[in-house]
Amino acid sequence: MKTNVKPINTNEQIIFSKGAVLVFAHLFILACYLLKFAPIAKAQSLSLSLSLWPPILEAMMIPGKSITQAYTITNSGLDTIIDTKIFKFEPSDEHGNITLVEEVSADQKCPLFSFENANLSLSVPFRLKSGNSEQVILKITIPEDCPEEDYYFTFLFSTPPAAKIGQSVAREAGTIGANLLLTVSKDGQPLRKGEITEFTLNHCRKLPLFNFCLLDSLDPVEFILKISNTGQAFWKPFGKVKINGLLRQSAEIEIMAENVLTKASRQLHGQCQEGEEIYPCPLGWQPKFLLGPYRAKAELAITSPQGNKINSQVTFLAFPFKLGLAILVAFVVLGLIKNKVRT
Amino acid sequence: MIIIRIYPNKKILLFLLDCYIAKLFYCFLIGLLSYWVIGLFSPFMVQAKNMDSDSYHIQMGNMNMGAGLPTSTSYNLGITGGQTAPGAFLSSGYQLLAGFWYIKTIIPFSFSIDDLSIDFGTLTSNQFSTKTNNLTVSAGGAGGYQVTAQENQPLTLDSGVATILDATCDDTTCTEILCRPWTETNKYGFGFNMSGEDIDTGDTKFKDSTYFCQFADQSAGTPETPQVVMSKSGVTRDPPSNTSTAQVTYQVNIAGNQAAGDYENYVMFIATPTY
Repeated sequence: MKTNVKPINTNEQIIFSKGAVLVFAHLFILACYLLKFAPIAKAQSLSLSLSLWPPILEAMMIPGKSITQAYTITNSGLDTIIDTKIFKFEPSDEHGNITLVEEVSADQKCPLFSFENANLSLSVPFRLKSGNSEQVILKITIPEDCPEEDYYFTFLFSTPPAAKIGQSVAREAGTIGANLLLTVSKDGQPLRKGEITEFTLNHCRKLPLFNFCLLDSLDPVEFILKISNTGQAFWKPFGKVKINGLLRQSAEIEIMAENVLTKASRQLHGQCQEGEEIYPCPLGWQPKFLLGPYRAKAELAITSPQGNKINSQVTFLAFPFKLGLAILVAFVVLGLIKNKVRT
Repeated sequence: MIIIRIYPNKKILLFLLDCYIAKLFYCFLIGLLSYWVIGLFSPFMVQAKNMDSDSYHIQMGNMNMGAGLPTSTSYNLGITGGQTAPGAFLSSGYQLLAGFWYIKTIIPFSFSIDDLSIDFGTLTSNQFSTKTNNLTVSAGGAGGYQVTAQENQPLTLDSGVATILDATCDDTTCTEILCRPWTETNKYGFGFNMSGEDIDTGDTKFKDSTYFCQFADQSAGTPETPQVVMSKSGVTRDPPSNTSTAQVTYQVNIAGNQAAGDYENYVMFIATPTY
């Protein structure tokens, strides 16, 4: 009788061993990958990175007209949900910051906000994938019966709070916004006026009965210039601070044209330039050495260089107080040494 | 051995000292005169410069950058005359400016949070549990910015029956407005500290790493106003990233009788540019 016993193939053993090694190798690599990259994957999934353009929209409109503005929101983090809202805002300080007041309700009539996108609606969340941008086209309509005044809003793009991962957790939610400054006017020439409420030197030290600031010759000159809007529409100031010294010293500092909202005041900056970029910087002047009396005059025009002019001036006296004190101390010390040597 | 001793002559010493003082005085006078001459004739170093560039020589108060596809139902937006040509405004019905005309308008306003889930793990009584994350803002395309923070409620047990109250710090006075030191482990609650760029380091804010504040509480009887945690009145221009980054440190400490379980809330950060 012939038994049909298949002899053990040593090659199969070898193949099985090779397979096992391959499987183990794959598992090992997978484990290494999970151990090495899992924390990064977790961190990425719980981060947020949004950017928005433009950051500000300024518009003047006739009642009964509409405009549209495209906003580009870009998600540089991982996939997220974006919700859109519009809030009214008020100026919160003299530096251009805002306080969100209340969300624009669905039944608000003046102005009316809506999206022109076919697939997006205001206050309806949408998905934004990682690395993608969405162009949201905001339509602003001013009904015929809208009062002629200014309207200030912030267009917000929010993400929902992160999913809970862990035990006791503080989850985070992020929102980014852009400001809308709207002036409603029938003739395009709303009343624009303002006044300089403060023009002085920063750290101004005044002697009793004297109406000028004292300054050390080696100190930088830094001005505080505040203006308020007493008109019916927001505007920008255009102008300079002109400085003249008794010893024929003179300088001019360009003022940054920043928005001043109605019933609000703003501290103005100087205008700095680097290459083609112009940006706000402290309103200051840093000569090597100051000496004698100086007069600084702030000359501003409202809305355009040809607009209504407002001005104010400040006088200051520069003297080398620190240098003089140092020399005085040096003389006293040397005098003391001299006396000691003599005795 | 010969020892040579030199005794200084007093008269010579006094003479030398007098000469030295006199020289010093003359030096001072010459220096003062030099400064005067430099002050009279040197060109002044002025921080601010004129707008000389061709592409930015703009002096109109109202203009249009043509950015962001502004359109109208009746007119495409080209240029608007602003104050110099009100007729253009009347014919189109609007004038529009998108983005700050004085800043490179292609730079968007950006906001990042590097960790959206602050996991305190298992809380242990009388022991601080501290976690951090970073807020980063790029306001290159805006004139400045601020970031505000507000919590939806204090840390609350998942079942909603117990809360970890907001911290009142060592002297039990800190609020969402007033920051105070919080280092004692027998003071309980939940609070935060800020460090890094564009934060308020005043005496009543985040003076150092021991100063903590409460988050403004949206669920309070009268909802508390979101508080500013980062702010800058100018553009973020710090090289190389042109961004500002601040670290938020979250701190929790519970008493021994705190109900067991997992607590949670959420914190909303809102970044807005200046106007």
